[in-house]
Amino acid sequence: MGAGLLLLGDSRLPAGGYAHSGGLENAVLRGEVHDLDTLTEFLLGKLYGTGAVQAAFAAVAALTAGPYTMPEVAPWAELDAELDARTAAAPARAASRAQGRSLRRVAKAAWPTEPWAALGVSPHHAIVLGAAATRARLDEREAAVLAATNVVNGPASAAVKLLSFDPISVTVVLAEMAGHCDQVAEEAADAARTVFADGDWERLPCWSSVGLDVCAELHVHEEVVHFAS
Amino acid sequence: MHLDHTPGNGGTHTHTPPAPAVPGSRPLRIGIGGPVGSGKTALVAALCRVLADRFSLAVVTNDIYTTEDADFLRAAGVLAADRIAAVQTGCCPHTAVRDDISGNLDAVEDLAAAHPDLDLVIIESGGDNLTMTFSRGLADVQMFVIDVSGGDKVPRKGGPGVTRSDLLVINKTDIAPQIGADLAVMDRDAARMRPGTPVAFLSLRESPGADVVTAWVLDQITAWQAGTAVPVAAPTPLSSTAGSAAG
Ligand SMILES: Nc1nc2c(ncn2[C@@H]2O[C@H](COP(=O)(O)OP(=O)(O)OP(=O)(O)O)[C@@H](O)[C@H]2O)c(=O)[nH]1
Ligand SMILES: [Mg+2]
Repeated sequence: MGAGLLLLGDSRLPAGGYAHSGGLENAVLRGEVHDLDTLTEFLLGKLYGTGAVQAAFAAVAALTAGPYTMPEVAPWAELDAELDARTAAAPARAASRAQGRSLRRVAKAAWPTEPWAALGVSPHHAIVLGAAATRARLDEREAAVLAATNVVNGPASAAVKLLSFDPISVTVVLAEMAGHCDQVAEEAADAARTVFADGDWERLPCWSSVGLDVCAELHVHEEVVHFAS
Repeated sequence: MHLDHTPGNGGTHTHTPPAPAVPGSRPLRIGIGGPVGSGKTALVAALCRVLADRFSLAVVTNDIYTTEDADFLRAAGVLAADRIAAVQTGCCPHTAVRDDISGNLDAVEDLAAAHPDLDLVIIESGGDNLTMTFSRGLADVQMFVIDVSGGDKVPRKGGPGVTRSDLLVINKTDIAPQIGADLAVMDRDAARMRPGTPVAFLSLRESPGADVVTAWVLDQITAWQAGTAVPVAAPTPLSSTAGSAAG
């Protein structure tokens, strides 16, 4: 563990994350999230659902990028298609790709000699995150930690803005969440290692959160929204 | 896997910071910032009306939670709809144009890809406060639009928007008498807060073509396209300024 984890985990990283609420805004509009208990439930559901998938893809992307110079030829397209298939809602796919595009821009500026073009113009966020993690000298478990914490931190800070929660209380929720994030990341990294050994990408975790898919779909039809997703 | 060794590119300090855009090598990007309701969108519409038949233009808006500004510009018919893009700002209009410009960069890149002949992209910020400025990574030049309705004290309150913008526009001079705002005081304070940088008094009611601002924008386009605009220096990476970190 090193400073690279803090670099890529910093919410101020200029990679577009601040504009996304990860479905939280719509859950608030529907009245599903309205206090700290319902926020905690939302975050747990998100973490053990899509969070586990994001973490596994970040981990397998880290393994694919490898600790040295990133390979020119790598199964980025296969991973991209697998994550697409696991992201049912089209707006959620678009949000993931928008954030991936922004993160790739940052990564390309920070590590300009790496073959970022191979990931595509708008790759999924988790995949760029995993690749960038290795450039920041992190391993696959740490890449998974980044992805898992990202899944809960974004909605939590959106909740502070949308519901005027006490930021200290929300930090208490996030502190509870940290152990869960570590657990999800550990399991995701294990799964990624197993799959990476034989390249059988279909066996990557495929959890989903139907409620979040619904939120993502409904969000694009709202007239007044603060967050892009 | 444990990465206690030095990965390939982490050890060699060959970082090249992103080079500043060479003037003329891509469309000029002008930022228009300022408080809520000061007349930013009205000014964008005026500039489009005056400049659209001489230059290839596009606009990016940063509404806080609707697409009001983009909708207004589309409805006003000053530009084709596919030359107007709206960025969502996650409750933070200043973040979108200053601290994390990625959404705006995406919009600018997409517009440039769709319209390869673009000369100018105007980026309107969401209405914010006097501390708002555009990142130099997003806007090559920027203007800050305030109006007289907040009273004649606003310029002397300063803030980066007032002091650091390339042009300060003081709009709605037509209603100064009703507000009781003294334009001479605003002029004097503005000159003191931003010595040597221009201030333009404007009334879009009386000057629908925003003549003074249009003239300034034309100067910027000319300088940019002639390659004489001074690019803002890119940050120097720490590794090549070792020893100066204490400063
Ligand atoms: N009297 C007067 N009204 C003006 C002038 N310029 C703009 N307005 C009016 O001021 C109001 C706000 O103008 P906008 O252009 O929407 O202001 P804005 O800065 O884009 O506002 P936000 O995007 O909401 O921050 C509108 O009703 C305009 O018609 C002016 O010079 N004089
Ligand atoms: Mg406006």
